[in-house]
Amino acid sequence: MAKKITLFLNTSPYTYENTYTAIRLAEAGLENGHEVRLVASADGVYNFLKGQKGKGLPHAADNFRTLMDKGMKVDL
Amino acid sequence: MLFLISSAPDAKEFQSAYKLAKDMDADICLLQNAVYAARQTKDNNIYVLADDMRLRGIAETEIAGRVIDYSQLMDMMAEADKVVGMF
Amino acid sequence: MDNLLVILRRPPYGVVNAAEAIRHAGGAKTFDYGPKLFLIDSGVCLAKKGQNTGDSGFTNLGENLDLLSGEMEIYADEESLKEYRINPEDLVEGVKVVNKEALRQALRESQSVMIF
Repeated sequence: MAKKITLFLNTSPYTYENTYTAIRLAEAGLENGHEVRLVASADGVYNFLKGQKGKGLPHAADNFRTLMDKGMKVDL
Repeated sequence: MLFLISSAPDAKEFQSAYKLAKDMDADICLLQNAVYAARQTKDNNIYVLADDMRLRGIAETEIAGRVIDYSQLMDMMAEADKVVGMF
Repeated sequence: MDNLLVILRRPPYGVVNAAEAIRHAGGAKTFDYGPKLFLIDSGVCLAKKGQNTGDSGFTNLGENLDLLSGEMEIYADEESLKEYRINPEDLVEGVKVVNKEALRQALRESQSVMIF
């Protein structure tokens, strides 16, 4: 059954694995037909900064952009 | 009740969360650095996230518990009366 | 009524968790979410009296906790307090010392849980 799921992300994008976990969970949630919302707080908001140029780690903004295009809602 | 535990097994928060979950008879899913704990335990009554095992080179034969993917975890989170995470 | 359990397991100032726990518990109160704040492990250090932020620019989290205790239940885990050698008389006013069973009870009763 479809449920509403809220993920809470409060860490910066490239120091912890939480960003990657949130991306993968959100992806799976949307694929399974759930309504997925992400709330970013504290350093979590840096996941959504424009112009991130890092390499060698999952790209926070690009991945979240793709998920938002697939219907994930984001609150900062 | 489902506990998500992400910290490495030597971390205090890992130990507190694991004990609390066991005391409450809750389900446990190990992810991120917590998957290492599945190599050190005989506790088969835990879920372990496949992707984080793969990243760390941990094979299914090395661990106790049941291996699940993000899709199964997300459905468990949706079904649980309460999700307590991330320790 | 909706209710929220906020658990803090990190000490104040060195990391942002304590400030965030206070902020979210306070915010939940504003929206009538009936929050409770639970301090465990080194999170109990938030309740230590006598925090002096001087001209550091940090908000005095001990004072904020004191203010918060007028609005909601705040608990500190007895075992963790012992571990960090904080006596009950060293605590900010309004913080209740409880055992792990109280934490398990709070987990069972609350609708949602936030961990910092």
